[in-house]
Amino acid sequence: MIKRNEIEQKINETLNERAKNISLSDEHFEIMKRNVNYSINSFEEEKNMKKFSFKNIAIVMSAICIIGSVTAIASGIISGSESHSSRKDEIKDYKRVSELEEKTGFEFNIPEFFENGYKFDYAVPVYSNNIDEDGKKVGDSWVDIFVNYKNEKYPDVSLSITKNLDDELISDENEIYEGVTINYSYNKYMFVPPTYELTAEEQALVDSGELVVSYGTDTVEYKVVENVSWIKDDIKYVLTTFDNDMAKDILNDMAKDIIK
Amino acid sequence: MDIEFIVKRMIDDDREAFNSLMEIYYKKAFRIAYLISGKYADSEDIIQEAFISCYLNRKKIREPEHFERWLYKIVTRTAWSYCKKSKKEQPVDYIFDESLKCDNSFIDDIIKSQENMELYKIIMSLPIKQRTVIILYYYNNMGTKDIAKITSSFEGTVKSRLFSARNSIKKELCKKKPICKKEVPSN
Repeated sequence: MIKRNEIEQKINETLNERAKNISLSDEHFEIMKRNVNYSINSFEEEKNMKKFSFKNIAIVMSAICIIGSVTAIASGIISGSESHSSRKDEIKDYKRVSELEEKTGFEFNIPEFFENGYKFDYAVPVYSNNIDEDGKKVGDSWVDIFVNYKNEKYPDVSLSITKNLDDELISDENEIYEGVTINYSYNKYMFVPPTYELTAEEQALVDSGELVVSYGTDTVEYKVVENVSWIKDDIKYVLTTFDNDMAKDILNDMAKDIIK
Repeated sequence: MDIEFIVKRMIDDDREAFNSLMEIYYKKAFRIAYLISGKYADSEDIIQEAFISCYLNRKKIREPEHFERWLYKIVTRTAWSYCKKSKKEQPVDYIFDESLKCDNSFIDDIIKSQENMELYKIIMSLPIKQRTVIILYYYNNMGTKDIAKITSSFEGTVKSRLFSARNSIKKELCKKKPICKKEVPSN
């Protein structure tokens, strides 16, 4: 018969060995901390923030993916809309992208390659719903798609696709291509820690619409965000990139490739 | 380090104090989440969700001196919820996780590691509430009273789960020769 203390010792040893062998780096911790602070900040800021458009959600998501490195996006609640996705749902095999159509309930066009060299990296479903001022869910939920594209020479480009057309497309310039209006917009973003207080100068830029502030990072970071958006067959597409010197040309070319 | 003081600061909305608490408890809490869920990727989500919940519910902390127990209660509950959602009463095949290091180079270590692997499979095949009790008792070195508070159950229930889990482990272990050299009565 095995003695009880012998079993207990084995259990203790086994659990400790398994736990000890889990790889937990400082980088893991930093990513986790950033995501947690971002989500908490989003909860706490939601009543003070103006209604965000889908474009902004896409921007914030891109920011998390880029700043947070890899794809450790967890959740983000923004005034007016709530969205979340999970790393577990990421699809890295392009052949499986069509599986996402079952989740969205609509067909969409996601190229594997673009003529400018960008290629498919991964796609992930984003679960969204509207919320009221008290943070309660309002109406039906829906599923959007977030896709990341990579290029050896230039920063990543993200593509967001949704059937939710509640928010207007924001445009600094536009161009009509094959009957579809492609809207281009340019924004300066400042990502700041949750407790950061804006200077008078920064607040003036925010008030004039020249600067957008996003809370949740560990340090203050500035980024130029450019995107193009269009609606085709009642589906909204938004292409976004950060600090990309060739953004306007790249995004317009990619938009046209998708519209073709 | 005065944890109670840091917890009180967090309750008073100090985000730096919260960040400090995350840093202090991250590894331990992550490992508990991993041992309960058996999946590294799930553990990442569990731990994020648990810490978010921890901060958002900070005003409900009644005993700052028992913060660790309060945090593990959230981690445990979140892990259970994930296991339930994923219907993971845990497939043993999932335990070979890419995140685990493989640095045992000597034959003795390998044999010992294999023995531990067998035992780990047995633990992971236990019903989730028994498994949780085993993890909190043997990995966290917690007493049955604290475990009862974490799992929101009676201490008698904890003892019963511990007893049943140990018996199940014992029976299974005795089928594995390297660990158990003597036969155990079949009843």
